[in-house]
Order: sequence, then structure tokens, then C-alpha cells
Amino acid sequence: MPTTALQLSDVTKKFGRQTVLSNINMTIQQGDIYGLIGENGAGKSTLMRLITGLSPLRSGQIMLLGASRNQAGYNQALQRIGTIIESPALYPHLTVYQNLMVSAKQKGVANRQDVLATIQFVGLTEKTKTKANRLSLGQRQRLGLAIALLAQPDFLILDEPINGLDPMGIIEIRDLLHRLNTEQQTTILISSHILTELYQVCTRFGFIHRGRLIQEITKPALDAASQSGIILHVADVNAASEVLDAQHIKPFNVMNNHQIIIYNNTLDTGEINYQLNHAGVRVDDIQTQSGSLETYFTTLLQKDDQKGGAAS
Amino acid sequence: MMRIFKSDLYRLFHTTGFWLTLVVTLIAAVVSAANKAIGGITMGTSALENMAAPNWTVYNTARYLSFSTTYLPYVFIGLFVILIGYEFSQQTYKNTLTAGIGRWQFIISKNLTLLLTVGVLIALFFFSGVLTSAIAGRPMGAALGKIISRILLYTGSQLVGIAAVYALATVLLVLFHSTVIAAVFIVVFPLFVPGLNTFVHWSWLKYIDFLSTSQNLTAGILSNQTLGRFILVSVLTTIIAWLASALILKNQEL
Repeated sequence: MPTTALQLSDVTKKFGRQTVLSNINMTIQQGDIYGLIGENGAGKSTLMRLITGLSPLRSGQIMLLGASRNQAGYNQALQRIGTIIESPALYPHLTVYQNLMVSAKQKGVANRQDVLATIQFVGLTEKTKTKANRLSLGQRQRLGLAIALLAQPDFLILDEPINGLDPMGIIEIRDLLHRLNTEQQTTILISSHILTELYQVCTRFGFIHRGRLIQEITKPALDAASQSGIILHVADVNAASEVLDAQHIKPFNVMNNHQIIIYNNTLDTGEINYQLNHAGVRVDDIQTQSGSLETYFTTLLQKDDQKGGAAS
Repeated sequence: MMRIFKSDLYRLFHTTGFWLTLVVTLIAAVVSAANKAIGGITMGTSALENMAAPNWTVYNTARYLSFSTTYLPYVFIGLFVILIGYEFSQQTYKNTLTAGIGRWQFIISKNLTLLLTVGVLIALFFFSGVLTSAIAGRPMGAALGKIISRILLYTGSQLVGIAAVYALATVLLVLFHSTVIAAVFIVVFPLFVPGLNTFVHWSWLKYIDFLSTSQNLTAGILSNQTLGRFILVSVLTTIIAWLASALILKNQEL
């Protein structure tokens, strides 16, 4: 049975009168690579700063590796994590090796071999003696990642680590994260404002919009939901499934208690609607989706905006 | 705490600014002693009037150099910037604080590392000056033990004063995340307090004229008996400023 690495319960954050995070409930299991997706300003960095202790927690509860944010043991839990928050924090006049040695001594792993191995792991061996202020953006990100990895953390928290990287840089970071997860069983929480950048590396996704976690979804479910097809919102998915089977309308997938996706958008939606109504299944909504991660993401945000608009 | 201490010392020894500070400190001591130069930034006329005619024995070299230690907090601003200021200008505090280091531990260890470094440099300043005098063939003027104890007294009293000024600068640094504001405070505060006292004549101001303690001791303005009161004010100011810095840091959005 998987163990919970991070649990957020009713976490709310306000800056003055502005609510930037509202009742966030989120669970990350050990071994997950959890992608936190949201537009700029959605609240991703604030959430990560709350988890890592850089922002005071006034409302809600955070449990990290079994320790509560409000208790003294949280600092011990923090010692088991590695972080990059917003951008890698480096000493510009020190070399790659020296930057890592500073962190190594701070984390009590002042072993030259460990430092060199970490440099090699992130692919910076040729830059070992290069000063941080002479590194490219991608190399700086990799050095930041190396600092986060030094003490072999159980949990990595990475805030937009692939922001501004070129395609090759993104692939390299993704490969690194894959290796960490598979070789060292490191749990990873990673954020981005671009879903496609994280799609290939994450096992679960959380979508954050205007300070609210509007959906959590596993990768298989996201794959199913983002394919092209026809989305049905019905009152009774079991009855609707029977109708679709009887009419040889295939393939389809039941997403939840009220949603079915038919992976064939060449079918006539009017005909499907007629068949379901004829069988006594109430159809609340029927629409086609063009089938891409970006479309899924933008549709999700639009729906949430409409809900917000309707509520207000 | 020891881990931060070790990592800061590693960083310090790999920063050119530290070695430049060390060289400047040693040159200042050697030049002052060799040229029999007495002078200090906040050195008031009362201090000078209380001085007897200079007699450059090895022992008195240590005494006279205590005036010049008022320059040192300015020379050491670089160390303040390297050890504490950088954390905020480069936001490297994120690495430390997210690694499970508490705010109080962070502030204390940074300041203690700074004070240890400053203390060693002040002692080196005195010892190199005294050595210059000895090499110049001047008479000892006192037993070696007395010279050493004098140096340690001056180093200690100056260090306590510097600790208070740097601790107050740390509060400003943490509050505004601005190395410039903190550095300007270190420059202005030791000049501002005696300057203000000239106009308002508030007797309590002398207790927060932290950097004048050792020169007043040399000039005979301050007795060994009243020294304790000055040190107590400096130490209390330092501790309260450290607590305030940690508290501000704890409640800040970082």
C-alpha cells in the first residue's frame, strides 16, 4: 500500500484581502511524479512556498513525510527534501563544484565523491570549474537540480524547473527526473504552466486555477480524457453504456458517474442523443473534443471560469 | 548550526573579497605602527585630550591601534555582505531554510560566523601592528602577557560593539532585503550617534555609541569598572536584534 508523502488539507492563503489559495486539498503518494499545472499567477509557487516553509501557514494543515507543518518535527522532514523554488539560488562567483560543496557542507554530505557524482548525474562534469555566472540558463537549472539532489532526498519539490529551457534542455531535465524516480524512488512534485512539458514525465496531475485545485487526474485518465471524441454528460452512465453497446457505438470509456467519452468524433451526435433519449437516458450535455492536451487544459479552465461566472 | 558555520567558512575562503579584506587589515596595521600614525573615524577631541604624548613602545602600539579599530567596521562591511547580505541578494537563504534550518539557527549561525571572522581579523590587526613595532626595535613597555591581555581586551570590546552594529544592520537587511540599506546603516550609525550627542547631550547615547568603547578605554574616558555596563548594553542590543531578525524572517513571505 503506498504511503502518503504529502497531504494538504483545507490550505488557504491570503495576501491582505486577496485569497491566493482557497481550500486546497491534495495528496501525493510516495513514488508519484505529481505535475501541478496552472497558468502564471494561479498559485503554484505560493503553494510550494507553503510546503517548503518559505511562507507562513495561517490556515489549513500540511503533512510532509509524516510531519505536521505546525510542529517542530517539520524541520526534520524538510531535511529529507530537495527544492528549487522559482529559480535556482546560486552563488554567482563560485564554481559549479564550489556551489555544490557549500550546499554539501550545509546538508552534512561534505563528501567530494558525492559532489562529483551529483555533478556527473546532472551532466555538468565539463562545467565543474566554471563559475555559476558563466552558465547558461539550462546549466543553471541543472546546477539547481544538483543542489536539490545532493542529500539524496526522498521528495523533490521543483517549481517551474523547465521554465525558459530550450527543447533539448526540457528533454534532459525530464530524463533526469525519470531516472531519479525509477532508480532512487524519489517522489517528485513539479510545477509548470505548460501541460505538454510535464505530460511525459508525470504520473498524476493537479490543475490549479485562480488559487483552487480544480481537478486531480491520473495519467491514464488524462490520456483517455484528452483524446479526440464525443463527451457525453448523462444522468445514468450504466444505462447509457448499455445503449451504446447495443448500438455498437465503440470505443468508449466511462470517466465518472456522469461522463462518458466516445473515442470517435466522426459519429453523428444528434443520432447518439436520439438513441439515448429514446432509451430513456437523460442527456445533460453532448459535445465533441478535438483531442489534445492543450485543448483539454484550456477547456478545463474555461469550464471553471464559466462555473465561477455562473456562481457569481 | 555547525553545518552552516562550515559551509559559510568554505564560501568565505573561496571569495576574493575575504582575502582582500585580510590584506587591507594587515596593511593598515603595519602602516599605522610603522609610521606611528594615530587616528580613528569617530575619535572625538575628548579622547585625544585624554591621551598623553605618544610614546611608541610595543605595548603602546596596541593601545594606539585601538583608535584605528574604528576604521575596521567599514573595512569589514565586505564580510557582512559576503556572509549575510549575499543570502538575501542572491536569495540563497531559500536553499538553507528549505533544508530544515530554523530561522533562529540561521540568524545566529550567520552572525556568529561573521563575528568569529571579524574577531580573528581584529586580533590579527593588533598582533601584526605590535609585531611591526617589535621588529622596528622599539622597547617593549610591558611584559608580553600584559600586551597580549591588552590586545584581547581591545579585540573583545571592539568585537562586542561591532556585533551590536552588525546585528542592527541584520534587522534592516531582513526587513528590507536590501544589502545597500544595511551597509549604509553600518557606515552612518557610528557617525550619527556621536554627532547627535553633540547637539542633544543625552547621556544615555554614550551606551549606544558601540564602536567608541575600545578607544574610550584607551583614552581613559572609560574605566574598567564602567566597561561592563557598556558591554552589557551592546550584548543585549545584539541578542534583541538577532531575535527580532529571526521573528521578522519567520513571518515573512520569502
